[in-house]
Amino acid sequence: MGQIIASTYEIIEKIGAGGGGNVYLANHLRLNKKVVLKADKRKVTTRQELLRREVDVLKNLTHPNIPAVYDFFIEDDIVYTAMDYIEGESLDKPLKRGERYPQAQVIRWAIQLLGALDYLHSPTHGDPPRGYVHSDIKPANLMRRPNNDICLIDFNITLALGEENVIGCSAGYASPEHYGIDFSSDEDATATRRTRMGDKTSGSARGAEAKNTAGSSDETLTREDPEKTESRVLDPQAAQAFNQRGTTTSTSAKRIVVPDVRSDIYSTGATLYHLLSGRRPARDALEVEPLSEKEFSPQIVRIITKAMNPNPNLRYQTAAEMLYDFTHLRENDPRVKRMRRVNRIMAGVFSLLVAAGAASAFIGLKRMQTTENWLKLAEYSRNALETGDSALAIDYALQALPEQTGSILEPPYTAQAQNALTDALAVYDLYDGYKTQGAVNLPAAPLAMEISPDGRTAVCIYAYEAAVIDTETAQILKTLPVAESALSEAHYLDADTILLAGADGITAYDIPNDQVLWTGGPATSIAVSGDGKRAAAVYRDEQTAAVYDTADGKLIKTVDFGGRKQSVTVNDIFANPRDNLLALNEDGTLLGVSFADGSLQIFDLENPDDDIILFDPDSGYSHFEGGFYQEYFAFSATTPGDSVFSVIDTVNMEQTGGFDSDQAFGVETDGSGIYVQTENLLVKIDPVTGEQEPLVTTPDNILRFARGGEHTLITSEDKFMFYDSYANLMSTHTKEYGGDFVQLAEGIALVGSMDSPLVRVMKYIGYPDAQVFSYDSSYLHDEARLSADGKTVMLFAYDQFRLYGLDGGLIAEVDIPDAEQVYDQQYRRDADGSRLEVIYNDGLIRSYSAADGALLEEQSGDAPDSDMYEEFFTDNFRITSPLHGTPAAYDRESGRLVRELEKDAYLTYVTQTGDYIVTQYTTADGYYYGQLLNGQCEVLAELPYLCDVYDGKLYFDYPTGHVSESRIYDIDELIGMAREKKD
Amino acid sequence: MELIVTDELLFYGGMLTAGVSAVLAMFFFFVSKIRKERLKARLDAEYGLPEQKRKKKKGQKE
Repeated sequence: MGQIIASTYEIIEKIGAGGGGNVYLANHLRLNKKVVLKADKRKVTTRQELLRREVDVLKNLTHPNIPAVYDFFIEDDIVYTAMDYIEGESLDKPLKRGERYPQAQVIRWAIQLLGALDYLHSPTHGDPPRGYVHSDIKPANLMRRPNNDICLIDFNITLALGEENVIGCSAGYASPEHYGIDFSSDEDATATRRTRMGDKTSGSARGAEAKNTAGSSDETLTREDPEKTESRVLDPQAAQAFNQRGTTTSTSAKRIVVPDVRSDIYSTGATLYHLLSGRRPARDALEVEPLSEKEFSPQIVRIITKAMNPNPNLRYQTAAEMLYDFTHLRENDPRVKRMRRVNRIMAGVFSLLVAAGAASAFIGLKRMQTTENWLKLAEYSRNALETGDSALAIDYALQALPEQTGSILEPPYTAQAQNALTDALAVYDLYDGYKTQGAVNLPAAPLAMEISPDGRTAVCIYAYEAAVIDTETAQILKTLPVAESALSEAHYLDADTILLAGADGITAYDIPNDQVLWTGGPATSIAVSGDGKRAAAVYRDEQTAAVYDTADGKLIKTVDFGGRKQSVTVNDIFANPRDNLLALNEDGTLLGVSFADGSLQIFDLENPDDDIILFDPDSGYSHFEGGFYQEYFAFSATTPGDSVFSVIDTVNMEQTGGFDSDQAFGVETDGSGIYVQTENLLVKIDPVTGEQEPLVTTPDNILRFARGGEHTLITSEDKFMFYDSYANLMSTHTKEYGGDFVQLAEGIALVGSMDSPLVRVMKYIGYPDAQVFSYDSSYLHDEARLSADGKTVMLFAYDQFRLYGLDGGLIAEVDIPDAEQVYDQQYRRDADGSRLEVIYNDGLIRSYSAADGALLEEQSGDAPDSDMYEEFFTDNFRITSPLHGTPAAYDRESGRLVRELEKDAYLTYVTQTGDYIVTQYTTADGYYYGQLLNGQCEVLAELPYLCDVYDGKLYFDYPTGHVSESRIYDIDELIGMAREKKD
Repeated sequence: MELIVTDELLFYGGMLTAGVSAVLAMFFFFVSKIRKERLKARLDAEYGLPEQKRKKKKGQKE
């Protein structure tokens, strides 16, 4: 049995010996548990009560890296401490064997050690609560357990913070404070250390024992066994008294300090230093050689260096701080930080790029979609304009030009939309002529149409109603039921009264009062006398005609056809009313009737014996047209391949004129005369002399015509045209549908088709205010120019020119000599005035004054190129005009092709005016026009009959013999005009 | 609003920018993942495995 200590512990074996005493493995006799019994032989000066109290606190420490202290007692003047037996090996032993520990392992132990110190230092132990300083941390006091964890042992000299006690001074591990050295006033003790290290002339200090040159402490440390822990008694009161003296005998004031947690920090740092490097740090804190950052991680070196700072104020102030750095090595590693920084930056950059790209794509897409939408609306506008619905065309165009908000998602206005609006408003169409006012959308395609004498209303018959239309508004005022027959007709008795083949019979209807005046017998075909007082009606294929007094609808007479009937098919839904002739003369006493058997007869309603039979039955003719003019009856009778036209004097019962042809004649009569059409001619015929006054000559065959005042409206296969009283073409319009109805009265024209329910309403509009000059429209010329001073107008062709004053007075008329040798003509305006230059093939140039037409000079020059190639220059473009080929605009700086201009026309002039470019063209058939372009050479407006551009104004030379002027409207003005019109 | 570049350039250029950036971002993501793993391995070697991983590894060994 081994030695029994305190009747409780049986010594098993001695397991170690230290500077303070021996360490035994003992068996707790009662607990039957192995414990470590430390016997301290040093003289105990601490009061026993205090020691008792400390041990009582220490034995309550509970930490996985701190052995529990069970007991403390004194026997035979030996202080015994009983604590947990920690199996394993202290860390100093492998170091002595020359082993080195990996850095990762040391870090792990550092964390455990600092965790234990943090626990130990925290003022939570005992009553009153306080923390404790180990004061002897070194590898020898760290036990390595079998599980590779460490345990901090040897609390024998643990110092209660702030108390007088024994302290340990293990050389190399003990902080300067342990030696009573104070570096707390040394602001950069590390620098001092580095300086002193740099002063060393010896080589590496690794392993060398440095000569201790302690500070100005009164004590001088002597060389001692580095393995031993030197004990030193520290009297805090003495320290305080020393410090209060305030005088020192050395340059760096030092005072006696009491070791605190920072001392343990130092010792920990020194311990880690040793564990990592394999060498004990120098005793003198100033001579500790820093660890190599090449061998160890810079962070670790930094932590240990800080922990071992001679100045305690510059060390970690708590174990927790140091522990924090060890547990956050990765986060604080500069490489990790750099990687994170780079990742963040790159994430930001890529996010930004993706977002910018997406935003750009979104913006571009929205703008493209908006532009496409606007282009569609512009197209709709054009389509509406072509059908005659200008109001709808304006509406669509306005939708394509919404108010600009300045949003980046909103593209600029499209040229197409501006062009559509300009066309819809017709602002540059200053031609005195018929312009589309609107369109009436009937429930069905019309079968017949009639306009009032004053042009304010019209009646359209469709299946099977009659719609009364207001031509001003293109609105349907009233619908009335009509007889279900394609033969049903309507006529105006006067401007306010219509007579129609109503469903209940022939009906007189008062338009303003919306009132049926009277209703007669059944009727489909109707004729009205010239004076409007009598009306004749035939119902389908009945063999009689009823004659009414239009004032009250009284039946005046029934005309017996003698068993004949007008041309009606079995199902007269499909009958062609135009095959039949039914007409009353001026006073309603004569009735002209054609019949299905080919006969044509004039019935004298007052003297039946005086009836005139113009064609007997079986004449072979199937189609009759005509009517009465004064006492004359003009008619045409047609059969395929044969047509006759004749004028009959009903008073003298003789034919006064006529002709035949293999082409059909169209004949109309009204109060103004007799009008005959064949092929492409329309003439007015004097019934007495047979003299023909040409009204219309067209390139195409005339299909239908209508007369109204001084104007004539004719239709051909694909167009309809207006002519003035001089047979001059006023305007041409594209026709969309065939099978025409045309009506013209008092400046109002109606154009309809059996193929469409749309009836176009057109109105004659004149622009007297825009006219600057008028001339005889019969004078043929190619170009018209105004002089720079605005006083004269020159109308010129290659062989002659006329000079007019603006008042219309002719100033000069000049024949250009050798006209067949003329190459080109240029009208020049410059400081010298205005003149016409006539350029000849041989290079000769003759200049004529625009003031008086006089020849100014003749100049010889180089012969011009015969290819007629021209170039024009604006600020930004070079515009080419080849004789054959499409003119094109090129960027003046880069030479890049910007846009091809108008095809199928020859570019004659280019003028830049402000932000706009005006191009002038002429076509092969002599038509001239212009286009208004924007800065990208996109077409903003068509300029029909443009002849000149000067001083920011546009001049138009119309075939009617007028020169009109217009300024250029910007888009805001056009939008304003459109909105006004819409409202 | 009139811009210096055309709408088509905005759209297609934006798509291209976003697409290329996304591709580059993915490429960078994979590269940085690889670099991160390598650095992690290096840090594990220098600083040791994090405690949780060490315990897990130890548990797997046992």
